[in-house]
Amino acid sequence: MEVLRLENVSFDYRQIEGEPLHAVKEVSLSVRKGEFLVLAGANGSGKSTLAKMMNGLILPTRGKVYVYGTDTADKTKTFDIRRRVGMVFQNPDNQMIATIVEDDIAFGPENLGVPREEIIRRVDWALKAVGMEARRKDTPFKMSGGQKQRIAIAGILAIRPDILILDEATSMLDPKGRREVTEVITRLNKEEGITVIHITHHMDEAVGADRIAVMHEGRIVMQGTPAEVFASPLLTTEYRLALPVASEIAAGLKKEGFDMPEVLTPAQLTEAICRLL
Amino acid sequence: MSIIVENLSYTYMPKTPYEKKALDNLSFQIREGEYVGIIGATGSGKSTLVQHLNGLIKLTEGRISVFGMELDKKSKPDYKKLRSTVGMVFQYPEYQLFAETVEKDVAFGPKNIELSAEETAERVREAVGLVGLDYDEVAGRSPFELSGGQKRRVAIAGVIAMRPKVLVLDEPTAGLDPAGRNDMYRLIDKIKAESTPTVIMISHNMDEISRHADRILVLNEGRKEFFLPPAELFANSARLSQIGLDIPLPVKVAGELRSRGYDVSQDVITPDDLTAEIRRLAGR
Amino acid sequence: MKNISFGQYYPADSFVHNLDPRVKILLMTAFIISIFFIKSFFGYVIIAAFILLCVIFSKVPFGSVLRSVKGILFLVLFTMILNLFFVREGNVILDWKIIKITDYGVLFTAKMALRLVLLVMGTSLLTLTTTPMSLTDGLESLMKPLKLIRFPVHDVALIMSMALRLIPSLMDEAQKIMNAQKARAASFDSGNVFQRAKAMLPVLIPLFISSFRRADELALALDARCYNATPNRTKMKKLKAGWRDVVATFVTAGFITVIMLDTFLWMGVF
Repeated sequence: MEVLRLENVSFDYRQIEGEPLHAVKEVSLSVRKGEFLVLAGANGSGKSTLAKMMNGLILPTRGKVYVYGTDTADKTKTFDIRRRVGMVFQNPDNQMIATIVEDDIAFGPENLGVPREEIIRRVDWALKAVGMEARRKDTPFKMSGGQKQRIAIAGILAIRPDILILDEATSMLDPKGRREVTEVITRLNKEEGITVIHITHHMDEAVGADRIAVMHEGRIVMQGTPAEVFASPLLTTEYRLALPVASEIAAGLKKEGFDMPEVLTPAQLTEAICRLL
Repeated sequence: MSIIVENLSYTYMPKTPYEKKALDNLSFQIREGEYVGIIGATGSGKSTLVQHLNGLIKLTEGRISVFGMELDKKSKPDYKKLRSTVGMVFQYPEYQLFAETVEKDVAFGPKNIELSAEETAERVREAVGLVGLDYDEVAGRSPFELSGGQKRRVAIAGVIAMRPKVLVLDEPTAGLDPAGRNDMYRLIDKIKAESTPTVIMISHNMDEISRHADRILVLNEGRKEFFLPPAELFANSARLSQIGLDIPLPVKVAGELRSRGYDVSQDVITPDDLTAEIRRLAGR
Repeated sequence: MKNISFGQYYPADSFVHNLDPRVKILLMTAFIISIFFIKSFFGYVIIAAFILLCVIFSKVPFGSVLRSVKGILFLVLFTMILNLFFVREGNVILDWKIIKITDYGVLFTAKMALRLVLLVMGTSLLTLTTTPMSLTDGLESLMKPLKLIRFPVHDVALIMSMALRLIPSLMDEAQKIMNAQKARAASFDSGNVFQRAKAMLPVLIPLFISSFRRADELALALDARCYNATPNRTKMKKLKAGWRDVVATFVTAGFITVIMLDTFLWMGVF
């Protein structure tokens, strides 16, 4: 079932001087229910602008975006769309509304007029889903980036979205924080069946994705499974991205003339090397 | 020795409920021309340590010598000289830009250390060129019009323009995409070769820091855990994992191969090392 | 910079923390009004004792409360000096050239300073023991009648709590930018007033830019959390006054009664 459809979507930023900046150019994309889609691209490729059109935070200059069949330009459905498509942003510090974890998570459902008992149930569930039950009464300021971002995810989960978009939510985190967040969203996708759209330039976070779409200069230039995308030589040259280290090493060995299968993880790499020796 | 740190300790907000020991009896030395990586979990004391080197945090216990300048708890150092000796680039340095033109922003440091107008102009031109920007093109432009990567370069130029003897960088690749990260490491290599031979870099990314640093200082809860060249450091992989630090993937794979009986060298750190080692083992 | 703690929540599980925010706000208002009624030093002793009692039952370290006074020390000194020199009533105790200080002036000045200090200690105790969110909830609940005249009660309350919540982040940011400029050999503590003000520009400009960026991102985050989705907002935490609030009300009322008695009946005899 298709849950999100972009039809020939473009977005122009008006500039004070000169021509408008064409950030997104004629992008068409369809996302299935329960899919884990990674939208990858170098800085300035337009991926973040595209993400903000997926829940109507901004409307396309040209083209249409449909969420569960509803046009995001339909003003009467704005909140319906925002509730269905939850979005987590880059800087965890600028997403916290309240100073206490549980208050912050309750903010979304409160805005939606959810009954009190149900809010409490949702807060319990969301905290558990991101593994932060123990920090319920704490203040997020002293937490690590990864922990803060997990709280931000819980805040969005509490509005019970069908689609979860992470708009470069890992780009300010250290490797440990990135792993924490990737683990949480992978679990949410597998266990809760939430459709995940993860926007990132770290390809190691894309290893477990169902599909990777690569953006370059405002267009989607390549789509496929991780193995298919990693096999393209354009990825590291033209599109300014990097392979996950295991795939990078496998690619290097292949170039040397070794017979290598498709490699995504360190374990696969070790096995492949053992077969060579 | 260019930098000597002896028995350095520091406590935040002593005698309050927030009291926290950030540095605990730290001693080490850095040679001129070394590329040193500092790594440790959040709160391990990395920032507190480097801010001691240029006097942003006043020394309270221990002794530091920076290129012959002595810091101790009694005397007040010549801050201008100290800060032009230790060039410090903070995280997301582009957020400190303020002047209306690139030229003025880069000139801020040289002006503060009271250099003449000619000397300042010369250094600004040199620094802007060194970070890979075209002086004639950007000098008169507002730094806020530039792209994210260019802004960061301007900010680094603002530090280089003081011609420091040691460059300290806190996570200079934070927020950059893969190509941007590679460009940044290349830029640091260039600065090291052409202007500031001694480099200290804080990083969270063991994979990347081990590809570049000569020696890595590992901090854990304010104490020195290791200060070793990468190859020797990863002989202690078990301890590193225990204190929450990553092991570079090639090191992990090499270790796994070794445990399966293959004769893989202990010196494997980078992907290229691993590839070369496999070529050797396969007899090519 | 680190010493300015005004407005920052101090997490603890105490009698004062657990009071209903509405009750706390109302009692605080009563307390502030009563300060202006005090005439005698005995009154100040009573009110100081009240503050002390509050601090003890809030488990907030006394230092944190005092630190909030540090922020207004300049203001206190300034008003003290003004009053000391310009109050002319009473017996002159010092007369030197144009300076004339009277016994009444000294008394008046001391009372003025005490009043300011107690005022700030009291209000900062409120923000130290109440999270911005529950402060908002309390204010919103108290202002409910205003909804009838279409006053956007919730928006105003939210704006206030966001402002409070952003203070620590901006302080942190200011400190970071200041350090970055100091690392470029900037100095902020030399020269005259004008030179110092000018020296702050390299801190203020980046700070402004970053505040705008933050505001922009916060607005997006509010939208993503369905802010304003329905006029019928609900609350996870129901405000419920309990035994603590009754006790606190009686204690406060007791102190205020003593002050009023002192002012109007005993006429500052003590």
